[in-house]
Amino acid sequence: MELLLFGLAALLMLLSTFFFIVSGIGLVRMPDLYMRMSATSKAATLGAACAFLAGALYFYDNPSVALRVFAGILFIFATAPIGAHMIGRASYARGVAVWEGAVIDEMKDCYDRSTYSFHSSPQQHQTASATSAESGTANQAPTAPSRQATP
Amino acid sequence: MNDYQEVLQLFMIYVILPLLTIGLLLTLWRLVRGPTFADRVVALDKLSVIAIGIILAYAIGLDRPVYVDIALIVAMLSFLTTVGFGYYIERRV
Repeated sequence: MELLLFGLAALLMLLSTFFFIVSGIGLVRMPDLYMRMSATSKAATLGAACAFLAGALYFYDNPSVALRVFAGILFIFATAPIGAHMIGRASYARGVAVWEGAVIDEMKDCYDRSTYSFHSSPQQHQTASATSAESGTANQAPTAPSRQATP
Repeated sequence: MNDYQEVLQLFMIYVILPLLTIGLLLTLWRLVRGPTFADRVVALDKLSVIAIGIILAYAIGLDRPVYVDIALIVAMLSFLTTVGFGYYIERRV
């Protein structure tokens, strides 16, 4: 029984080091901030979860450790995507360059500097600034008639 | 303390920790080299996640269940720093 538990703990710890090294290689080799962040937030989160599970299997006669491990895995799985999303959103808003081999960049010109918010499309951004120009609160209204004329 | 436990502890100390150090060095290279500030923030985040793995390997290697609490607290602090840096990057003038 103990052999099984400890062998599983060793296997999980090896798996977590594998994930950590893979995510480190991705962090070094990827050409772009956003790809690097993808490597970090997925693989490293899985590695931390595997390490926590190995700890729970090793301290199997201590139920409070299992509870803490459960809380830790839940916390990491909930917060790692939030942190990666915040970093990616902020760096895209500040103009960190996308890899030049990227095929499509759908969020181009969708960021409003004055309100720190993204709009879903440049067209909607135009209409939003136009309607707010009527109420007299907008400071910049780059009216592009060629784009607005299309129904 | 039986034989299996001793073997697992020696495995943690002599095999897992050097392997984790490789990942730590790769992350450190990106932290030093990173072209933008956001790259360094991402590397710092991953550095603290690897620190969680190292703390858990120590908790098994030294047979201290208290160290799991430290790993939990490091996870919370790394999330706080990431959110703070994200806010700082976006609102920086």
